Amino acid sequence: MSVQAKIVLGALLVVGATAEARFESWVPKPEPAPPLATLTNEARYIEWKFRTDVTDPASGLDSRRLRDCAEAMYRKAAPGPEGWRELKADIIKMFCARMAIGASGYDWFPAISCWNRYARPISRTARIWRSELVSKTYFPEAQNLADEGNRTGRWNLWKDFDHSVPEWDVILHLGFPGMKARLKANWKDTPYYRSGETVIDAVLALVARFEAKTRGEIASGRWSGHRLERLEKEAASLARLRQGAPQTAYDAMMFIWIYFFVSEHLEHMQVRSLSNLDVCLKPFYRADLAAGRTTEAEFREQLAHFWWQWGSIDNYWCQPVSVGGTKKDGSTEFDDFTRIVLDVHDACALPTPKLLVKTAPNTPDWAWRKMLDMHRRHRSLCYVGETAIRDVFLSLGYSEEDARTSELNGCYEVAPYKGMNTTTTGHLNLVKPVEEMLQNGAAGNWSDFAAFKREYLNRVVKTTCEARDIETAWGAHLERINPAILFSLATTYSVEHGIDAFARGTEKGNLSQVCITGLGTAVDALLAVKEIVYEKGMPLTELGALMARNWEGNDELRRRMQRSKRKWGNNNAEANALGNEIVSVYAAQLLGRPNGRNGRFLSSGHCARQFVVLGEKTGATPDGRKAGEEFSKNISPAPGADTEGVTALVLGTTSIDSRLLPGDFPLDVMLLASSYSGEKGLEAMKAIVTTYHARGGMQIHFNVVDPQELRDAQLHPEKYRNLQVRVCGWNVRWNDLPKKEQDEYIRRVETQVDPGTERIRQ
Amino acid sequence: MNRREFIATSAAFVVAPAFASGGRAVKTPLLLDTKRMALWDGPGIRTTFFVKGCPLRCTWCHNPESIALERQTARFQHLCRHCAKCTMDEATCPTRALKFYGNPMSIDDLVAKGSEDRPFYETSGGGVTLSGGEPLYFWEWAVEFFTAFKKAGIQTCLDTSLYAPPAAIEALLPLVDVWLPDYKIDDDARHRKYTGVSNQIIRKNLERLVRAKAKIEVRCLVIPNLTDGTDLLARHRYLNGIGIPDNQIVDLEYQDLARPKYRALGMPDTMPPKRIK
Repeated sequence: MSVQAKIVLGALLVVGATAEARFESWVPKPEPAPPLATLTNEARYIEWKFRTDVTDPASGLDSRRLRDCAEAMYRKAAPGPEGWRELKADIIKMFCARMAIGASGYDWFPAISCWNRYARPISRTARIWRSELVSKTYFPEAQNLADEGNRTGRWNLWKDFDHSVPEWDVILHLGFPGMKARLKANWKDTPYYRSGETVIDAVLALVARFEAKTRGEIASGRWSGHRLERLEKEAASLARLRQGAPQTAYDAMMFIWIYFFVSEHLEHMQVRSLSNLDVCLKPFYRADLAAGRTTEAEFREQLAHFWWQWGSIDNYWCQPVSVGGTKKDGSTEFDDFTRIVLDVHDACALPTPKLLVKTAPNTPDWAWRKMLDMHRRHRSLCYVGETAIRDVFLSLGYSEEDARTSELNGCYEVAPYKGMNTTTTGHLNLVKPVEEMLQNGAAGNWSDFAAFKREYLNRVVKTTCEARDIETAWGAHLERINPAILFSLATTYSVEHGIDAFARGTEKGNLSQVCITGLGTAVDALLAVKEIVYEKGMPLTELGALMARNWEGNDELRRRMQRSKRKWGNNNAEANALGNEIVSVYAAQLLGRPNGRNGRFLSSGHCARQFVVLGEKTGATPDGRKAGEEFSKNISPAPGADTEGVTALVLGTTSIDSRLLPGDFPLDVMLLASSYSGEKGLEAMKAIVTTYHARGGMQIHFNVVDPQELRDAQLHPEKYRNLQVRVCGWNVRWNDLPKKEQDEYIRRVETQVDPGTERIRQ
Repeated sequence: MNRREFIATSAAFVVAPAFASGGRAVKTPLLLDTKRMALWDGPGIRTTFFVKGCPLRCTWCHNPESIALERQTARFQHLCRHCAKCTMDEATCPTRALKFYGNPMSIDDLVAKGSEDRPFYETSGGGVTLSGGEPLYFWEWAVEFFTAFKKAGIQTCLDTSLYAPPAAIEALLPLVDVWLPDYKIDDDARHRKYTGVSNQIIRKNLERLVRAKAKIEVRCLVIPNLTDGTDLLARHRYLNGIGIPDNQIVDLEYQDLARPKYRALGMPDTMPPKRIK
């Protein structure tokens, strides 16, 4: 084979392997990486550093080799049911010692060969451990039940390792050496402490390797001027982190960076917030300025590079960061530093990291205008109301201070600061019972709608209870399934008590969520059954047969039901009451009940992407939805159902007491760009957010869109490379959405968007 | 609404007499539309009620469905598939080509509807707006309408051509918080030509509002080659002259997007072109 052919084949294998590694079909397929030699400026280098391997091959192994080494270690050690924790620590140590690394004058941060979060080197070994040993040993029945429900579309449940957030402000003041000292101060000779020491030593060794690599780059003579200065500051920062706690704002960002990548890419434990960033970095930045250690311009550049690390990873769910909030004295956290944080995020124009903004009545007007204007330009933000968080937290028995210091640890989720280990195990399909009852109509003896509804609610109860039992079984073994070693080191209660932090090792958390999907569609479908069968007289069996035929033969009825105003999202009294009933019976089986983790369950209203996934597994429904079409998402209405505008949408959805869905309570609002322009548009958007929050709504975000622009972007994707739309709790680039989802999105815009004033006065 | 329901309820509409010279106003208009989350019809977030019926015949009218008093059926030809058997039903027309304009609605119903968004009025300083058509075509009804909303504690706003008898203005002055009058053309002869009525009544009413220190925002539509240039300057000069400063005058950009509605209603399209030739 010629050299050229080998290169081409190698490139194809790399691209193929990358696409395969991103095993889920909905993950956008990455573009082929450009040759490394072309990454010759800051923008190009950072854009590609987490989409290809930019590390020095001489410095260690690539991700694939590391994966094979990890698997070999696992096979050799053959751990018993309790042996995974220490073996995992040894594998992480091996990664830290042998992983290829890089440093570049183009970038304020190092590089690692485990760049691909869809092909983490430990994932395959961890999967073998889970499926071969833990599931079969500890909860075979629960696993079988979960698998069966996943197959039929009753729910989509999985073992969640995704919603951990370290105690950022504590560990930023400890640093890695301080974390080790704290571990030693609480030492007992158990696997927990031994594995913790192994990992923290490994992290410190990795920091030393980064420092050495950076000094090597400085000595290489390849860099000069600003880029050389950047490398020198990077080496100095790494030296400080090796020896103690972060001293500067840049050190703090470097610390977050290292923690994140060790936890996410090496240990397979998601870090679901990069901290309440403005609050955490502010003291460092102010001290830097006072001591003349940095300038605003330099900090802005470092922060832009920091944002761009996650911009380069570009993961579908996006990386949350929270901003804003309220101080202990009741004044706002928004200040000139927050403005810098927002400015830099705005200038980067990235879908990820996404900003979860904690707002309150004290949030200053300049901040509202800045953020809402960013939102109009498709920046990735979600507004989380502190008033509603307070109400929800107090209802759960937490204190005002717990509410004030709460951390956002997911797409929307809120957790108390000393309890950021929530699991979100999956989503229940609220529409499936309607489909099942219609298919089984002949057997049902539902003489009136009340009887039909009662049976539906009974089925929701059954589904919820079964899902709760599955999560309880899984939660009881979470420490075995995926021990969280670094996260444990970052959680005070865990270190003090020697309990795995993610499993059950937080003081005020250990919460488990099983969310709902398709609330709006379920309400619409039930009201449609009421109208068609119990008011208009069509036999239930006939309606069931029509649904089985996917509406074939009665398109007129389908259109009539599609355009009905008796739907969720219109502040229709009947729909509101039904929505409340469904949420109440679901929450009654879940909210506050003990889980398997020495904690309790939360009910939760967000659906992530399950409105598409479970929609695909559900047949036609009497509200006019065809088989396989997506559901309503979050607590929002089905596409095209809300015909009364945004105010009715907000009033209707907040008819549910958000204390019944304390996990999260997110609303999606589509606005037509042309109707929400100028100052009036900003004022109106602020009024929508503040009214939603005042009525108990927790999370709200907008899509400010122009359907013409979206259609043009379909035809000319090259002109709209940076166009972002909000999918659920995250933004994606328009061009990354599959055509089917783009079409559905445009349909949603054209039917659901609030046009402001269609009737123009002249 | 299907055709049968449409015909059954159509008997409710009433006929308007000529009234601008002080004749008796029509009792009750049909409701054309309700627009919630209206941002451009007064301060804050508003609910705007559009009533059907207008004594003016502006050639550029953007809402031709609001001119006639009686109910109307529109068939949008560019959407119509010409089905072998037309459903004659808005709810099931496959392409939404069919539209019925005008529904009877009681003031109690309107107050109930207009009160729904009260939380938004409170956060944004908004309220309800009455628009048309020409709401003052039914000024006695408008008095009842605004009295009911004042009683409900909701801020009120009136979007009007001000082509109304002085008695209407006097009756509504204490009831309307914000007036949004149009001033369409300064020259009376041209005003007659392009709207079908004189602007003398409108000017008198404007001056009355200024004397009463009513809160006003005057809208001046700018139509290329028709109401731009010297006429726009003259309108501003006149408005400034009677005491309305420029910050209470809004020049509105003309849109000619309503042409399909003219065709759908079977009306001659009188809209001037948007672009300057």
